[in-house]
Amino acid sequence: MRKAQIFLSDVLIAFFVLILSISLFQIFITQRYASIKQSYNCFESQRALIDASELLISTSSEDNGIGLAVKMANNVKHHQLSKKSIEMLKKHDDLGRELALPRHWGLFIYEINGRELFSAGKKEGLALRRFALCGNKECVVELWGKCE
Amino acid sequence: MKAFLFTTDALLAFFLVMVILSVMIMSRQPLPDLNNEILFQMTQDAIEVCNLKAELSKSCVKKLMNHVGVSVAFDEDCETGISFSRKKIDGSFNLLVCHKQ
Repeated sequence: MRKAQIFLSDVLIAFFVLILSISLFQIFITQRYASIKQSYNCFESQRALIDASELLISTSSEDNGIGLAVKMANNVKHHQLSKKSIEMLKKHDDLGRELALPRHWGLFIYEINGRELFSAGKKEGLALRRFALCGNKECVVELWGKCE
Repeated sequence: MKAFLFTTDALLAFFLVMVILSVMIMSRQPLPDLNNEILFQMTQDAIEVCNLKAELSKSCVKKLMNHVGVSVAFDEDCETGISFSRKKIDGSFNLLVCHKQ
């Protein structure tokens, strides 16, 4: 009777230790999964912002309807943005989709002296800033996107 | 006895599934942070813009970078620096940008 009691108590202790270990391991795995998921989502958002900014400052609206670079004598002048193309951005209904930006996005273009040239969306999440010349003045193309 | 065996099998199957899922999660590595790539790109932009304005100098690059809140230091030893080399009309332009956290 005594031996059986000791055996049962050992089994119970082993069982609780096992359950505790599994729970701790489960917490660790859940945290790791969340961090990996976050890194994948942020990577995608960052990639989308980089691609969209490249599209804006290195292509011309004559080629794809959305690029901002000046085109002269069939040459695209990257980093030299046309103010007319910036103005034309207002006519795009779904800029986020056209630039393949994350669901929550923002696009702001302003001269370095603070004068705003274009703004759409919200300043939420990650920010990517690119320098360019708008007309003859230095300006910043600022893209925002949330990790989803 | 049959019920006991069934419960044991069910528990074993559950643990097996847990182990497989855990191994799958553990084997995946987080993707790299692109912040350095973005900083690199931004500095290149600043150099490009200064070059277009025919003002390729450290002060021009520094002014632009400071404007967006990135502190840079030039030609200093730093652990996490990005080195740029660019030809200037009147000589070479070497730049070591250190990202100050």
